[in-house]
Amino acid sequence: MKLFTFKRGGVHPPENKSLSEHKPVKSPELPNRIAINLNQHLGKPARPLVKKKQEIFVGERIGEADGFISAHVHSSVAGIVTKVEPAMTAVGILADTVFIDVDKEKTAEELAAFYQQTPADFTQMTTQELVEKIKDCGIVGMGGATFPANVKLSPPPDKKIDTILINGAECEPYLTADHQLMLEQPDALLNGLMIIQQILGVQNTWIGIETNKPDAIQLLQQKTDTGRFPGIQIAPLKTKYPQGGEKQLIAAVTGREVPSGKLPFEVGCLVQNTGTAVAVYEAVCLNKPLIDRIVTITGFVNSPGNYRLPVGATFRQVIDDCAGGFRDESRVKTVINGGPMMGKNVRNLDVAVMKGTSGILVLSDTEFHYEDEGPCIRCGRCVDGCPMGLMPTKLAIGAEYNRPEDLDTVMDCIECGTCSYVCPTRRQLVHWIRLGKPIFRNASGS
Amino acid sequence: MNIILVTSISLGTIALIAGLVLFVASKKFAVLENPLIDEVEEMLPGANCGGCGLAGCRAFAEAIVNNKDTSLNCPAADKDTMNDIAEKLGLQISGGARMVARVNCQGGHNSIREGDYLGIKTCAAAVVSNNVTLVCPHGCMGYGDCQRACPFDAIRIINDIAVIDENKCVGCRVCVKTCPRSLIEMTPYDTRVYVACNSPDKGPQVKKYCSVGCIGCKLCDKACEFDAIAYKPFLAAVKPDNCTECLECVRKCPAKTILFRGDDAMAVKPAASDRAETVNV
Amino acid sequence: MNNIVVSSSPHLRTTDNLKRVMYDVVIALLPAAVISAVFFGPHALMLMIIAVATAVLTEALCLKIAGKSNIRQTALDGSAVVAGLLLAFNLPPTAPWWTAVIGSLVAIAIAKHTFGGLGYNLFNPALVGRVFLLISFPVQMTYWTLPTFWQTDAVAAATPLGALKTDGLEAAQAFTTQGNFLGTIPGCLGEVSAVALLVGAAYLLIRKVITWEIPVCFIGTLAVFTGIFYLVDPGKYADPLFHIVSGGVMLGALFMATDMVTSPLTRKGQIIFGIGCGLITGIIRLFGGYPEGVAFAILLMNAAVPLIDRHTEVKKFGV
Repeated sequence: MKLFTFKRGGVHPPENKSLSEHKPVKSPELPNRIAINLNQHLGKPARPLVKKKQEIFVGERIGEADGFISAHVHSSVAGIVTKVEPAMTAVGILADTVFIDVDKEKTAEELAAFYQQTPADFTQMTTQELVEKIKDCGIVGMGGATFPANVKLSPPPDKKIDTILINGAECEPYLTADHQLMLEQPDALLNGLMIIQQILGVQNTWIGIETNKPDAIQLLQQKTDTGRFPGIQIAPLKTKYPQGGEKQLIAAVTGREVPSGKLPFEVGCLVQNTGTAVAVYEAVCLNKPLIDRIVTITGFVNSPGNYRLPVGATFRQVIDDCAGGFRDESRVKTVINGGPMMGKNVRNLDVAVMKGTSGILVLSDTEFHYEDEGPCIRCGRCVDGCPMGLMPTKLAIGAEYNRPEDLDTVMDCIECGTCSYVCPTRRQLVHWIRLGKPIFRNASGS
Repeated sequence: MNIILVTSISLGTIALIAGLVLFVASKKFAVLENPLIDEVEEMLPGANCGGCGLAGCRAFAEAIVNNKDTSLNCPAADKDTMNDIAEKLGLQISGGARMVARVNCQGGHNSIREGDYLGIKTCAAAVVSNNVTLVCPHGCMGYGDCQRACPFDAIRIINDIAVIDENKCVGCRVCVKTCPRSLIEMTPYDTRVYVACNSPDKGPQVKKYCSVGCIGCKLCDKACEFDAIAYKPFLAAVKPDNCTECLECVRKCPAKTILFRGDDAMAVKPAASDRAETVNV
Repeated sequence: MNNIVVSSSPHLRTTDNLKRVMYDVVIALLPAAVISAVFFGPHALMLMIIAVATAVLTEALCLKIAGKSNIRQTALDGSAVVAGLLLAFNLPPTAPWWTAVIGSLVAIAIAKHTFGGLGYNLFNPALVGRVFLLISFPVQMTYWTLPTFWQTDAVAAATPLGALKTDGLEAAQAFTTQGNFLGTIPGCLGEVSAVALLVGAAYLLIRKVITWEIPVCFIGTLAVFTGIFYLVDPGKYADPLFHIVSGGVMLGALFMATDMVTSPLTRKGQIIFGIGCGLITGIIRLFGGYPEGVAFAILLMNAAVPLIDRHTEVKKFGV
């Protein structure tokens, strides 16, 4: 088997995937009340469309896309709006949030209706119709960056896309949501890809999967071998972090390097997450907006696993109801929205699951240690590990001492966390680099 | 003997030639500069704070001597110094009322925090990584970026909040530019009444996270007989021109958000332990 | 529930840390330390202990003066132990005890802490200590003895390189390569056995504490350089193998030049650094006044590290 991988840098953090690996996706009981944030995507937050005391149904649009890079937000439940006000979100910023009291029976009925209908035949639809449907359903990239999918699927006319890459690498430690999705919904995934191929007029799709998921590789290989999904191939990837980084995935599979500061379509590529492909299928064929997603709840909880959660369920509620609560509440150190390498830890548990929440990871005092940073001993491990070919220690020192001239490459950092991970003196390299970005922007006057 | 003679003669010659070259060079390549620039620079405080909007004291001296720019004002220099400079240059320098920086927040331990922030202990770092633990989205985080930036040592972090010693503050605005939440504001030194809050949130919202925040109740506006309260939505502010320091608003404010800094209250003397803690952040 | 922590990603860190890196170096130096104690006896052991103790105490004192917190932990993080041990390795077996004290003091206080402590020093502390001693106390620092088992009364002898410099090639050839390798020839504490040093370096390579670039380029360049002269006139110049296994090349190339703080960041830079060290060592040995040039070569290249770093930045992705 030919293994694909990116060449430069990378690390092998302990995977810890066995906690939730191969646990079938469960749908938990609906919560009594949910809070749907209106900044579920990259770009401008959506405008609220509902008012207090308004009765709403499942999939009703409650937030209107505001501007070109923005996405609609839909209700994941049926019920009554209790209030619309700013609240803290799982990504650490405030955003308008719609609070809804859930009508459980009605919600269950309406949710089931989506799956009871016969799937529409997408081959009969025009590109325009397809993109419009994806936009109407508020589909965003579900790998974490949450870029609106319809925008990504409408590349500028002068850029010809010849390769579609599907990111099933799931290189973040602990997370198994995409893995389980590939195992349980391979047909939806491949049909979603056919839709994406149809939109872009491309017949060359690679699904990149790390070799720590051999069953997913095998299953999808079997499916594509039947010939029902022309143009789709499987690319087994070496297990190495950050194999699922957009630029790293493109380099691994196609050998092309996305130029610095440019987007993947510059090299004729388009990258989507497996979750996004499934969401595209459900949007187009079932008319189902993006109102739920598979989330791995793992770490220091009683029953780690993969769960289909409605967007808007609060962390506290899903940890208690789905994952059986914390194993020992007094030892919980941090709760992360996403994976441990690039996720954002939340400051309280009242924040809600978002479209980009791929995992909820609870770390106890045995896994999470914070140590004060020491001086750089110039071991060069961050330089060797950086998948973007940067000098993290130089950038960090440039940011620390406010020297824009040392920060010339800072904007290329993808904040994957490799440098901070390997640093033997626990330097906060990613954090410093994040600080360096505005310093560089201000100094270069852009 | 011979050796000594040879060495002294040769070294002497070299020294002579080198001296000559230097002499010629200093005359030939001398840059003519107004000596007043040096004199004015000497008179300035020399903190290079950039409060005048120019790149340091030398630039200020050059600008004022060469361009006779009377609109320039050194915020760090006291009135007498500026008058002396004006006199020397034969200029009329207007100058304004003395301005000092004030922190529009007194949250600190009165304001609720969620979670423990571990990482680079600066306000900018907490903001850039969305790691602010202060629930109030407008208040002072208290990691002391302004304290470290202040060239005049006029800011202390006391009980997790920036406190400005208005007697030391010269109004250079460095802290105003540094604060990532823009809650430091320049106000006239002589107006000692001000609203120590930056939150335009509605009352119930503010009450959730801070016991001393402005809840937008308008009681101060009603109490003021001199139209000295400017009411932005849900946040009061004092109009310095109208304020008579009758302190009616201070008395009426239910959240004790409006402060009067009397003369004795201005000198801030942090306890020794506070100082050590805040310096080493 | 307690307050949960918010911090910057990544939330996982490697289990490797500074202490482990430094104590790995100490472990790697142990075989050579044991061999020199066996051959040079109790005095050598005492020198090593004194040097390490002085280094750690000086480190603690400097940290206290600098107003740092956590002094005990920082002083024992291993960096001072490594510096002290390496300094002792650079002493001749009969060196008086106070040379170890002065050397360690200079190494830690002057070479390390005047620059800001760990991570900021430009020059390898142990080598600065050695060179300081060599220049200040040339007599004590160049009195060599013949290694015997657990020696208590020493027999004066010349080092192979010293013999080469003063007595010519024939005297130097009396030392066999085998002797150089195993450690039965006169020399500094740490220099005697190339085998012990190689074993330690192999451990460091496996533990990924050092990279292969500097030692290979250092030793390779020295071999090529001395090899050229050997081929031109074998009657006058010693063969490259002699140069590699004698003197401080092994200790220098494997443990001193590879010091993380004072070597270049990038692999490309490390190659240049290694080549430079090898070249300067060769030049000093063949044409200089001192019989040995490793210490000077590494210090000179240390000074060039900022320059090397500036011109060997890695090529970023996507250009």
